[in-house]
Amino acid sequence: MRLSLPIAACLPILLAAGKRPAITVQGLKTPGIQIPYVSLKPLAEVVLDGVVVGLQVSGQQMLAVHGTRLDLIDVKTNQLSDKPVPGLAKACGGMASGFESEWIPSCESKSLTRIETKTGRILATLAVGTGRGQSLVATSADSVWMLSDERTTLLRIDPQDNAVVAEIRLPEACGAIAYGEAAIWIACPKAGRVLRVDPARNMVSKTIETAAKPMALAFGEGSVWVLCEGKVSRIDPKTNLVSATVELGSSADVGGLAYGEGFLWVTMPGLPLTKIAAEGNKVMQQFHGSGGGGPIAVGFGSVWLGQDNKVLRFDPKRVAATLAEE
Amino acid sequence: MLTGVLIATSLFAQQPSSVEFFETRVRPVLANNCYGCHTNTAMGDLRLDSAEALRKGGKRGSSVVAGDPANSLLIQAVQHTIADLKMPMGAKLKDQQIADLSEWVKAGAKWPVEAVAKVAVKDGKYTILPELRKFWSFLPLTDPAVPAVKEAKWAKTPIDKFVLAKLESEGLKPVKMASKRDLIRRASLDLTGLPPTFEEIDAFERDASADAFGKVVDRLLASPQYGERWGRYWLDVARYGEDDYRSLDPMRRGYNPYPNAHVYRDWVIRAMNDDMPYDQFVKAQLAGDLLDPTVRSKMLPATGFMGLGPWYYDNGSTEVTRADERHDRVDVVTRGFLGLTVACARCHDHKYDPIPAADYYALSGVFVNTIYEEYPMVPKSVLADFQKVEAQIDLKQKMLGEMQANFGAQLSQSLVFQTVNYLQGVHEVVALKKEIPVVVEARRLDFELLDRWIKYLEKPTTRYKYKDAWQALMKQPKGGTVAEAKKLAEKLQEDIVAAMLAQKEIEDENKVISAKALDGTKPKKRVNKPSAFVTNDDFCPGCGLQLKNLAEDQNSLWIEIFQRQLSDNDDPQAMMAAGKLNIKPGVLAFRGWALESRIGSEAQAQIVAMRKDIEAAQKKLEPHYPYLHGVRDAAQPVNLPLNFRGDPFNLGPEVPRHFLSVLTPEDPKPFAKGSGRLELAEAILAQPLAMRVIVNRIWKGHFGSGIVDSPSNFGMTGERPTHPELLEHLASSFKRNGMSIKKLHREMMLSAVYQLSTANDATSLAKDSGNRLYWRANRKRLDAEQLRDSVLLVAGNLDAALGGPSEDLTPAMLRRTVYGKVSRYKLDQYLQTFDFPSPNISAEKRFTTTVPVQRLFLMNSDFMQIEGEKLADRVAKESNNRERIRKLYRMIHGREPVEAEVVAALAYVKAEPLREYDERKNNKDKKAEESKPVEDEVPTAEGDDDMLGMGMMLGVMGRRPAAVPPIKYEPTVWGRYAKVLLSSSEFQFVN
Repeated sequence: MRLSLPIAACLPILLAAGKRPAITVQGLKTPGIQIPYVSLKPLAEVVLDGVVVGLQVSGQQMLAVHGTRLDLIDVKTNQLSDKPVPGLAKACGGMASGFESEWIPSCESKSLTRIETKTGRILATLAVGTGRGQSLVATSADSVWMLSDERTTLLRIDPQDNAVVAEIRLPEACGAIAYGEAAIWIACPKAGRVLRVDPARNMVSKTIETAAKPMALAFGEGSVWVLCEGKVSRIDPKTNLVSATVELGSSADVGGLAYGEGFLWVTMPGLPLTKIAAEGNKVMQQFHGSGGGGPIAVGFGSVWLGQDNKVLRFDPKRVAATLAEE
Repeated sequence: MLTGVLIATSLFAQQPSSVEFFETRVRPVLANNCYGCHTNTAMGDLRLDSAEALRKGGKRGSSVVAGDPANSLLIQAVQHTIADLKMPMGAKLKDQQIADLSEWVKAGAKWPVEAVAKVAVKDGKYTILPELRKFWSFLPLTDPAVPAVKEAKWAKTPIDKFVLAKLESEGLKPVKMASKRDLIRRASLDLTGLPPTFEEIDAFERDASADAFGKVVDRLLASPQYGERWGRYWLDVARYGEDDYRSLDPMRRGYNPYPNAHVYRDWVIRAMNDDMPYDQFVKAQLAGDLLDPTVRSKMLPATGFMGLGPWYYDNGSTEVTRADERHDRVDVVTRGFLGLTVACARCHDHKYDPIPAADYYALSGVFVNTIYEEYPMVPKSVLADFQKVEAQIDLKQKMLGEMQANFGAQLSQSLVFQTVNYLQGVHEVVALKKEIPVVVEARRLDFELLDRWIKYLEKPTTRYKYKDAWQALMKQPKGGTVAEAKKLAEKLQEDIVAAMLAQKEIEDENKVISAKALDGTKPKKRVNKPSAFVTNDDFCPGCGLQLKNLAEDQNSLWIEIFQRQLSDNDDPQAMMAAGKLNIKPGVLAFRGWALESRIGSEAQAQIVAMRKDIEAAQKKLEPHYPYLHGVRDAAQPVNLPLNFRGDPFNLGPEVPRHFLSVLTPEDPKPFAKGSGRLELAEAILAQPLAMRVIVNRIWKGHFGSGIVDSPSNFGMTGERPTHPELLEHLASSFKRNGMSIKKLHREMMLSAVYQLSTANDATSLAKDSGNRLYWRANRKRLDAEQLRDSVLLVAGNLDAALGGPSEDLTPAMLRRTVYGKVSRYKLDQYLQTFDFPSPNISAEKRFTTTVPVQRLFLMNSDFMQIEGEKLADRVAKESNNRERIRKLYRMIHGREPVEAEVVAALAYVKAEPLREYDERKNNKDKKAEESKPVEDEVPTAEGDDDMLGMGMMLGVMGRRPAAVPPIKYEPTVWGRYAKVLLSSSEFQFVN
């Protein structure tokens, strides 16, 4: 099956990333894998005021950030809280939780906003610059880490006083950062590498060659999962080697992935949801159709997708029960 | 315009009466050979620094008779024609220099009035006369009109017109333009330190567009390798080093590395790559810690400029070494940023430039308030956790030390009371000639202790008489009687017990004395950081106290029994104060395992448990959290007093901290903010001189010689600009362009003069052999970094990773040379061999020496052999030898070989194995060694001080260290051939 994709859905994201869309979405040909996205019914659909750029599980809430606002979704009612946090200046690059705060980059003001999770109060706005990518900020046990420009400069921020304590220069145009397995991991699409940064030394300790254009990161089953151009590379953090590569059948150079509920979940333009089993590194299901490529998160027994100005909530059991048409 | 003040240098066709002749041929000779004694010192009442002084002469009369060199004392003195007047003292000028002076005198001994160094002391105040402020380099910046030239078509940019105008005025012409291949290789090595690939050369040669070279320059400027190359230029000026020599640190034997020095080096590289405006670049290095909080974190690493030393603090008395450190700071800042040798004014007013000693101390005062600081690069919580564990370890180690000392004291005190028994044992062994084991068994003695007593009692001493009677007894036939021996043993035991008790009493008293002298409630902890050493007491807390001692003879007895053995010529007090432990223990002193094996299993278990606990805690501290070496302001800034003759013990009036008087229109205002570093940076950046200095450094980097070829000396004794208007133009344009160094590179490189070939022209060469007028490009040899990096690159072995800790330069180290360790303690031998400057002092330029060991490195070093073999591997799969040769040429020289080269290469690869076979056959001794594959061992230098800095020279120096991962290679004919190409002039030089 070959899809000629109308990608209006993901256009804003692509434009934000400075790309002109030219994506070939072929999907996987394995029988029984491909399922029309329209067949998959969400558990809930929450409409926001702007295009979702970040989803975050935090405490008992699902957070969604877009434009100038951070919205809180009550996971019991799937309703938006009546106390959104305004004051963001064109939020971009995802978000991260840590130190009783939410950390959100804002592209217009080139800053990082710290919002107190409990009160929604803006605690600080750090004029540190913003890089370009889908996840620019991450938190570790003691620090906030931020990709602050396109050169790329990685900042280490002390959450105690919101001060930058170190700058580490990385290869040009790295675009995703995540913390896991006691290290900071950074995906650098231009270099085709994932970098492992040792927080104990503030140094790149390993440079790992993955499939082309690594763009997003997730952790699960003791591995680092990297979404690359049409592939997922699985890295064993013990050896720092790619232990498996999973073919996805797409040339999209944007997208996201998250691990939870026993599976790796991937979203790309034209393939809004792909479910991968860690055991055997196999694609179990792949939903094709309009949408995909936005933020994705797993939490509260659900898979959450940001699609345009909506947050879609899926029940993994329902996903499993949605089978391919014969 | 600088007419009348700017003095252009032209090294040819100079009239002896001209200013140029004076400034290039006369003044330097006088300055370098005569001024030491004949300026302010005026030996023989003679000064030689002005026309008037020259005419006036000294005790012997006028030194110069204008127009008559034969009757001029100056000429007679330098010609050594008068027996008691041979100058300079202890040497003779070169013939050419004498001839120049004679010519000058013959032409009237004209002295340019505007260059005379005049200062006046009015009412005790050093006054800079207005004409001195008109010295060319102190004047305001101008933007001269671009001159008209005859060959206007040749000129691509204003730079060309300035250069061409000068050439035309001297009747010279530029040579032809460089080939595209030469040009891209030059540009690539210039900007990145790496040669272009065959494909890059090919693409450039095919690109017929007008801006083809501009595109190449832009690409190179944008590459991260640019910063690695040009950052290193600055690191030479910044005398970047990663360690210091420490004389008083016993554990490291003098070698004290700064583990995070690379943070500053990486900052410089990043600043270059980011094209940080020069004003920010300067401010950050002088005062990065004092900048606005929004940029402070970015700029803080730059304070490594001062934080990385050199620090001399424990190499002598604090007063002197601290003064030496300040001297370094004044020197690097003023020569580095201003091109002025202010540090010369440490001991006296500057001999040539209008810089009073007070100005030196005004600047030095800034640096006395600039304190070494280690800035953590981790959150406070990480730091707090680390410090908590560190403090616990300190306490535990202290407890362990005390526990061991207590056990030791208990043991020795208990053994004191067995002295009689042991001495009787000694008598049996020495006098009665009984076997030691028999005596040990019979008297139930400790074998080692008995042995110690025997040796102790045998050893003569003049320090005390306590054992004289015993020694006399032993000299008697059969060593006297048993009863006599017992009596003397009892007496000696009494003496030792008395000494022990007296010492205990004194120690109690001394504890009270020490406690009274202590500030606060905690004893001072010795920390080996520059900031921790302010007074001499810091080296040995409490050592300056007047503590009580036993009488000398009793003290010596006590030391020899309870502390250590004394030799006849050492001073027990001084040795104790120094805490030296690496000595033979006293009779009853047991440490380490000797102690633990005698104190019983329970005590032993306590020590082992505590030691394990400490070791476990120490593991938690690894790795040490990252931090950077920087500086901060002192909490209470102070001024420095003038040090007469530079002597920090001979103090004069206090000097407020301020900028240089000659660069300040009126009396300089004292700095008011903290140390004054930020104000100093701002004052420097307000100087046209600072702009001239930096653009000249960039120019020199590209063209080989500077417009002023004394890049860190723009003062009276420095060179005068060859193209003053061009220098003004460049400095103005640099300022106009936001102090962008990358724009400056572009401006220079897109000029026609940069793109000239290195071709010769006999006429031009005859007139300007040094090419100071830039009629052609200077051919340059690859420097240390370019050579090593280029070899690695063409061999396909270069690791392009950016930044991070420095590594030892070895064949196994594949990163760029800029990431190699730079040691002040022991500079890497490869770097030394290829003219890397000393990191102990700011370097204005690199010299190019030619020494045999350079060639030996290229021929014999393991590094070259390994890389040659790597190249051989890369061509091994080619279909035939011709193709292999072709590929090697492409990789190494970036071109196709011509047929003659192929033929020569084919002959070489055919003949070389046979030649080698014959050599082996003819040399049996060598045969065995040469016929087997070479297995080399590359040093890591860590833990092997002898090998420090030797890595790259392995194979050349004939030394093979043990240890470290071996690199295996088997010499092949193709590896050797690759090495031949790598050693060729075509590879080693840049056209």
